[in-house]
Amino acid sequence: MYSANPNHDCASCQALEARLEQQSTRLAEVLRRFAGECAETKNEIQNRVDAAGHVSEEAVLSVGASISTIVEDARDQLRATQALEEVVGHDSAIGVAIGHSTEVVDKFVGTVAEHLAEHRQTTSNSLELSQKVAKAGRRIESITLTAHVLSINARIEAARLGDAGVAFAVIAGQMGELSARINEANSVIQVLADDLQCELPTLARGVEGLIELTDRFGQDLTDGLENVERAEVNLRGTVGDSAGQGQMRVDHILTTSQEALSALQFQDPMQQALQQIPALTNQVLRGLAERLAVIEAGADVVSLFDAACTSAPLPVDNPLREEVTEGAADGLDAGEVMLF
Amino acid sequence: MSKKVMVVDDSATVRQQVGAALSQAGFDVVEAVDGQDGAEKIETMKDLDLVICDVNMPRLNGIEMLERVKGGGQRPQLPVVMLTTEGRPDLIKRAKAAGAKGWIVKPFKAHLLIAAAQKLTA
Repeated sequence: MYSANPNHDCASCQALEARLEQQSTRLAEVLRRFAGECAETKNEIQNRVDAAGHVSEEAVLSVGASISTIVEDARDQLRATQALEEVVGHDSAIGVAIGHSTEVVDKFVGTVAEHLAEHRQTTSNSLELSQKVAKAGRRIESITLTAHVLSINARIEAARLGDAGVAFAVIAGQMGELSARINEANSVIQVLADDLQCELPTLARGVEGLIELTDRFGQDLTDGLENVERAEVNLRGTVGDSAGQGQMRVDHILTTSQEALSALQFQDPMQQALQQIPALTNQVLRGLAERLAVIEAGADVVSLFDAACTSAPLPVDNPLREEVTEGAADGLDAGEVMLF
Repeated sequence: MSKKVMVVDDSATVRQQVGAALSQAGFDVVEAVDGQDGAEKIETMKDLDLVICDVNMPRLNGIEMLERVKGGGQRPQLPVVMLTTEGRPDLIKRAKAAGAKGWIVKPFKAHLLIAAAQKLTA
């Protein structure tokens, strides 16, 4: 750094100062060129960083869109599973339908069993009644036989009385005829009773078979309903597990997606490093500018020192003012001044 | 009475160099360390005659500071000159639109800086 000293040798000092100023100006020119190259490099880096940032941003948006699609699909799947869970749940339509079907089947089987029991009882009563009819028929047969014998005896007795027994013989004849007709009707009843007794056991066996079939059908229906209930419980458990797992998967996808997006957006070390480059370059350029300013200031101090040595006052109107350009321009170079 | 100039730059070296040049030319110099600091001081210092301001600074850059000061209408007549390493036309136009009175590209020449300061505070 220079300082004005009124006791120095002006000629030597001026020669030294001239050399210093020359070197300083040369050095400043080199630094200016270097600064220009640095500025171009910085702009190139900035452009590449901007392009990289654009690509990175597009990648983040693309990944984000893909993750959103995946999450939406997972949510749709979960909603479908939850809807299925509602269908097969405790209060679901299937559960209610199964319960209703069970009640209907139970009622049907009970009604059939009740009717069959009544039929069995009726069959049993009919068999007993037919047996009584057959027994009564046999008694009628015995009575008609007795009546027939009595009519024969009455005819014999009427014949033995002669004319006095003619009327008696007529009654005896009618009585015999009546006995024959009763015997004939009894024969028909007896045949019917026999047929009935033959048919009723068959009917009873049929009813028993029907009862057995109904019992078996009821048991099969009960077994089937139990199987359906077990299947419903299994299905409910499976769907419930699936819904739970689906929820866990959706949660996992969401968490992972958020972490991935965060990593993409905020933890990309390469992007961060790239973003730091322009700032670092600016810092270098600023340091360079400061050093140039120091050099320039040194050169200017030389001119001030020169002015002090010659004891000439500083010009009131700075002769360099004409270098101050006015108006718009297409950019400025280092050291230039523009006043608007 | 000497004119008061505020030098706004986040580089202490630049503030010192500019301050030294202006002081030697008879200006009274005050400093601000960034745009935010500069804007706050401009609001309180009513006797400022000129502001020489860097562009690239933390918190509030020079053009943002200019827009804030001029946009707020507090000191519409206060001349502001940008002193920066930037020479891009778009930045220069933006500064001019915001009300800047001049643009100086670092490294500055002290005599040109002084000449500009004298002209703007005359």
